[in-house]
Amino acid sequence: MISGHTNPSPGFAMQRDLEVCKLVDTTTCIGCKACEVACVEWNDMPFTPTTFDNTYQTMPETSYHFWNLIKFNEHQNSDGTIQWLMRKDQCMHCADPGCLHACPADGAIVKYANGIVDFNEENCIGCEFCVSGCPFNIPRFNPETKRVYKCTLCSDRVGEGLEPACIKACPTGCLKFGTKDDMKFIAEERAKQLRDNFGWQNAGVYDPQSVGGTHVIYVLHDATDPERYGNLPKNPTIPWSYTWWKWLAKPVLGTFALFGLLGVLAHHVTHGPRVAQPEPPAKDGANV
Amino acid sequence: MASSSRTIERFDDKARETFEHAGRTTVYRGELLRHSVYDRVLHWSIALFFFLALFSGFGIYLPWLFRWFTPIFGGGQLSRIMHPYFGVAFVFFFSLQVLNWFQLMLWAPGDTRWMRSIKAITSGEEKMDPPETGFFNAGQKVMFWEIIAGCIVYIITGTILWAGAKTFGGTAVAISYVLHDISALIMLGGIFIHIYQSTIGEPGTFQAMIRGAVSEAWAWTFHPAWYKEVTGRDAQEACDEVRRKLYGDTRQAQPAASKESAAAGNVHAGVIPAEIRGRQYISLATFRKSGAAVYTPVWFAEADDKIYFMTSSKTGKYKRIRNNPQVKIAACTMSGKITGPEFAATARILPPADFARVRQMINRKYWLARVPFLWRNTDTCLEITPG
Repeated sequence: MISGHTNPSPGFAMQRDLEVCKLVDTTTCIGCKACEVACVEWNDMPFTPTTFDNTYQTMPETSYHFWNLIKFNEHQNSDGTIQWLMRKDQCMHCADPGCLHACPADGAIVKYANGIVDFNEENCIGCEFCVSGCPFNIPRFNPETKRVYKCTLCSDRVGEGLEPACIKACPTGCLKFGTKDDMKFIAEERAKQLRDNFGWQNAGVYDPQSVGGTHVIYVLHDATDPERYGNLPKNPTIPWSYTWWKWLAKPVLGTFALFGLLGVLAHHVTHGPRVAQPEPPAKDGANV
Repeated sequence: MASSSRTIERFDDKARETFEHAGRTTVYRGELLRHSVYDRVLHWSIALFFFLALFSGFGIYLPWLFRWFTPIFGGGQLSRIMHPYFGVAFVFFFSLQVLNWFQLMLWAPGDTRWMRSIKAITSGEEKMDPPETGFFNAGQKVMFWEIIAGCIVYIITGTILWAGAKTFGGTAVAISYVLHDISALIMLGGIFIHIYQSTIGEPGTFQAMIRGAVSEAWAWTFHPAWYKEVTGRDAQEACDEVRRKLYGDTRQAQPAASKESAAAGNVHAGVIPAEIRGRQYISLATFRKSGAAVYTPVWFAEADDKIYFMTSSKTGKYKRIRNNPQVKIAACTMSGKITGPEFAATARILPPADFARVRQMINRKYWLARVPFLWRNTDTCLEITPG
């Protein structure tokens, strides 16, 4: 799938039936931020001064040159105990990506056959519709280049058979990379372990089906309340502006508008012009 | 309020004066000044930026149009960068036009009547616009106010889309995205009608925006009240005078004259012609709007030199008579073959109260009419006065 494209996506019909996936186990993340550094390093991004907001978080939000951010959240449980939650925030690489639905530019956003959703900045027109189309608030606009940037799931590394940079840097093994099926299996096993052995009755896997599943999945202590991990939406949805309005109503209404053109021409053919009076009387005198 | 409207007035006057120095409007004999240089410059500035915004917007409107329209503006990036500026320029020039035309565009009672008869006007049935149609007709006013509404939508949603989700939030952008489209679609529909009406739909209109002058005939036809305001003459009278001069007395000029001209034939008005009296069938000719006659054989009854017949209110002849009571009658065979001369006549749709009486007369004359259930749809009776 490519924005603005009727052609098949790169990798279509090739022997590549394996969808890739990144697994983030929030229960074993220690907040070391090695993945952040690896991301900045691999993608050759400058590191800029940041804002200290009394947390361990590197900066309040991801930015166009900082795609991978560990979000630190303190959550108070109902029994008064405190949970210190760390979640790696980055593009989720949705199976049904809101950014791609919203994008009007030809080939600016590409969803590869392996599931990676990538931005081709050279085609980006900087309209920022993807920002409002994304249910995870991921795309970031660079006002200097007037293009939008986000995590590529290291598609350049994956294409060469390597794991993404963040995975390589993770010291605890809380980040894993492999096929979607494998990661889903490991994640479910881990969630079962948490439920059975660690008393997290609500432990589960975050792989929201409202966007067709994601190619970044989380193991959460409490999958019933993903919001506590720093605004991870329980039911991420794409605004209907970019779904049926854009892909059904707009072409249909646009065609109707063209019928308006045909309509006035048809009127001219059937009724003729209204001419300034007096016009010559009709031949048989019956032109009433 | 009063002082601000005076300020606007002064501003407009100054602008018109300035542009009049810069340009020129020649009004030849038989013509009227329609649009000043200022009107015209504003109109075409608005049109220019409307189409620039429209076409640069098309590229972004649908991915399928992207490759067709973005090259016009040097690619997607430039289209996206320039589109809002085109929009701002469009709104700016239209705002000046709003100040310029505000008074003329105010809704008048005559405009409501114009809208009610819009079907007759657009179909060409009404040859001239209603007499109270002023400088702008109701259709033009609707378009004007629609553009004002559209511009307000553009300014609000356009600002939100321009600044983007980081300023106004994703929801606001998503909603604006839809409203911006709707406003554009309405204007797209409107521009087709506008261009059509001002060019081939009503010939003689286009020069109003090019040279600034229109023919007097154009003025009395399409804007009778404005014509009267400018010349002091009644539009209908002026038109009729020219018509008499050019074509002599015609039916269109004085509809009442048709009766006399028909009576001037070999029939005495108001008397059933001998060729028809006592016959079984008459051929009734009714007239379409186009003037084409449609012949139908009908049963009829005679009483007091009037001819009566029945029909269903769903039939074409009923509808044609409702539009145009002028008919022709002639003796004919059962299948409608005309066997005698044709006579002009006037038909009248009778009120339901007369139905029983006519029904009785027909029943007396035709035994087939007395068969029950056969004539269930027959619900109307009409009276034909010969001559």
